[in-house]
Amino acid sequence: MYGGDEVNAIVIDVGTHAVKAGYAGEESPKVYYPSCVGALTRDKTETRDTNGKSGQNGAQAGGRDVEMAEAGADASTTPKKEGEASKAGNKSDRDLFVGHFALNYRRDGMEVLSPFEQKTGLLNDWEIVENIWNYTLKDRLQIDPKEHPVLLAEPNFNTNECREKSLEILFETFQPPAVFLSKNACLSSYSAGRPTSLVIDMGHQSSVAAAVHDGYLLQKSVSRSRIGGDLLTECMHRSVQSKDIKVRPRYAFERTESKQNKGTFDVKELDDYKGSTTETYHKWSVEQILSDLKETVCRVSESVFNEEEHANIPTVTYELPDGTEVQIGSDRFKVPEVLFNPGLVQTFQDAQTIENMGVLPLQSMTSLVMESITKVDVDVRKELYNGIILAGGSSMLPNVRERLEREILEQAPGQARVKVIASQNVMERKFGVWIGGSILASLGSFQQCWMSKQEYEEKGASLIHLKAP
Amino acid sequence: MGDRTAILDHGSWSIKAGHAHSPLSVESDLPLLVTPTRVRVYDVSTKGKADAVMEEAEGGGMAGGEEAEEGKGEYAELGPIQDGVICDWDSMEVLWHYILYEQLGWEKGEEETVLISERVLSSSKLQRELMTQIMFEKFNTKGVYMADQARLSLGSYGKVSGCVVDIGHGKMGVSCVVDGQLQQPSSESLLFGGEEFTQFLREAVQRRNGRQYTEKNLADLKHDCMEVCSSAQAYLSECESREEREHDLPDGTTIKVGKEFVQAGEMCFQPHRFGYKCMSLVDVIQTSISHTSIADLNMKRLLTESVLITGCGSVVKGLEQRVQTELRKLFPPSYNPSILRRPEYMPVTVPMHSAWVGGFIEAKLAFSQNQHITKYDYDEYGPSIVHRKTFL
Repeated sequence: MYGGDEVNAIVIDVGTHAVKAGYAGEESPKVYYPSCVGALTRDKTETRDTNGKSGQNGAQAGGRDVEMAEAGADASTTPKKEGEASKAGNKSDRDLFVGHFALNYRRDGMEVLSPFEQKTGLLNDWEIVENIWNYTLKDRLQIDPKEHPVLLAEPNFNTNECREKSLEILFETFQPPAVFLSKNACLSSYSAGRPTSLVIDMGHQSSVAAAVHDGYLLQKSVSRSRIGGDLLTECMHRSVQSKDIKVRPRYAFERTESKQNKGTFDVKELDDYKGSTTETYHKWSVEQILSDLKETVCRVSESVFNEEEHANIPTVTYELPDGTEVQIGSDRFKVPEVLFNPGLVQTFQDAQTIENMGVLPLQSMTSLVMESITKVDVDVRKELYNGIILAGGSSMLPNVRERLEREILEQAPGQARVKVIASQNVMERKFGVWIGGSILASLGSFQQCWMSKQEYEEKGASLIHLKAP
Repeated sequence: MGDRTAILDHGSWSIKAGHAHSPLSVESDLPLLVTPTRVRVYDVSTKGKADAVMEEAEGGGMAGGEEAEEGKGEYAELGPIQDGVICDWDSMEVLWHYILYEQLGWEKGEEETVLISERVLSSSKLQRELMTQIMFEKFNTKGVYMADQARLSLGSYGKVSGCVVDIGHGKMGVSCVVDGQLQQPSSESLLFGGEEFTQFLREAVQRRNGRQYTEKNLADLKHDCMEVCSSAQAYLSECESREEREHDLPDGTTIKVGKEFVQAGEMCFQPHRFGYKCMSLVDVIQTSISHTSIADLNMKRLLTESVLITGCGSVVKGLEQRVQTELRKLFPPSYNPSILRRPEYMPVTVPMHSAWVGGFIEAKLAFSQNQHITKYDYDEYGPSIVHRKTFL
């Protein structure tokens, strides 16, 4: 009865911060949620009846669990007796909670895990990845994967093993009719409409610069820096801590409207969560608040940041969830300045812990771009200077485009015309990779490039290296 | 043109239907028809499905369909729509046929246009295509328009942006609409809804009274008696103090009721007391608003000030005040969370059936401006035209 003959491909971009997914041909992803998941180790003594289905490979429709209590009407405060477990045949002993609604609900002992490995920046926890795909396809998009080809966006430095593993899980568990893998940089350049460009992706866990020539990624030009959104958030955290303000996540306090003055609230700190909330969950919750602070107040200064000059800037007030007001002055400019001057990290409190956050060097954006361009053949460089594309969440900071252009102009050879391109619509920078995927998958000329399920069965996963270089 | 349009609002419990040419005033009893989404299927084993439709008109009592089918033997009752998803297309077709031809007075050969309002978050592209296909091919309509319930509900209050909380039979849902566009990433359903309330009440009332009650009795009971306390502390004191009393049902029987209704109402606000490990309704509203990715601070403030509670559960006593007080606690003082009130010129049925009334308004605009999918479009492009021509 289904009579559509449009190809309704699905584009999924699993990034270090968030998962973006949706139908090809649309202008923004319909699905957007953090890529971290909550993991709760199932206790042997605790019995529970999970709501999710369980596939043969231990996949679970992650997201929610419902425990219907037996004795319904007695709403006393004592914990309810849980029903008999049906230990579904999951290989691992974890329950995974995907999506920001499931994650925002605090559970005892729930850890927050990322599917990416810190060191390499590649996917390595495949059970989480499977759960993410399952949640995206079945719960958020509500489709049958057997009917839709899937385009996956992958990191620029993805290894062959990783690609084959992605294909394996996708074809075996979800069985889409066709799959394609495309590098982030290529997709970003599609969304900007330029076949040759240098893409600088300011992501969450790292920033990556890569050159794309005629639609193909030049592998040797890929350079990475540790400076990403999470590092900036951490600097913000230090800055707030130095003002002796403690950031409390929502579950750690309670606000009650005072009886005498309507409109004023008393905040009471709750202690009973301290024992049962895990370190990672607490850290994640605090990070959410701080990253909202960073996104709201931070701007990139137009010239090099000077501590004394900026000391006289009027402060901006930001209200934390518990009502505490934070006054941010020169830190508004200092924190994003780390993108261009990593040495500033030293000036924050406890700088050592920030530096130890990763293995990669802390390289400024400008030097990242220069390094990437110098690794490329001389004849292509001119075109690359002319088309530097900004992508990624941190590129949404105001003034980052102008500043980067200025800095590169200083360092580039005299004859080069430097142009940094960033989408006017700020949201599009965050979704740049996804939008590129949406464009690619809806092109008529792309339709013969897909790797079909049949080809996978006949020739194996390694065919992808030929079909999608 | 837009006058004879039929407007259908799909829900898991009931389908609301009516014409677009009815007059709109405060006393209007709109929508014209509220039909339970239930189909009786007889004789599944022998000659395939011989369908019949059970319906009860607003005024109670049985109408033509069921009387005609008496004595046909065993039947199974299906609800073709579960949580907004159409599961059983054959029964759905029968239901549509009943609504359009028998109740709304369409005649074969002179079909008109249809506006369908559905829950976009639950449905999928496939479902919309199938609906379009059935409407054009089986029912021969002249035009079809589809819209999202959240956007229509806001439209009936005269707004284009807001946070819509739908308390219906299926799962309760919260969705944000910004400038007429539904924000899917920030929308979510809770784990429970009207069905779970009824389930809870069934067990509680059974325990108290010692006998079974029919679905209809329980539904009436729920609509009459369910209430929400003004705060968590008030809930605790109510639980202890509320005494048992007798309540008369519309069909004459009496039931002993006690604190169950206050408990059922509290399920929205403290789900962990009832075994649900999920956020409470207000937490979901707050998370939804703060996760609206395309909204800047001003829009978020606007969304907080335009919270709309719709659906049959919206008329529960004390629900709006409670949501308001709890929201004030969650948002900073500079935000002013407020629940939208029915504009005075709108019919009284609006809070419960706001999606239908919104569809009523939209029909007059969309069809007269030819924004709908015409028969010509369908013949040219096929069912997939629905994705391009509707703002979903």
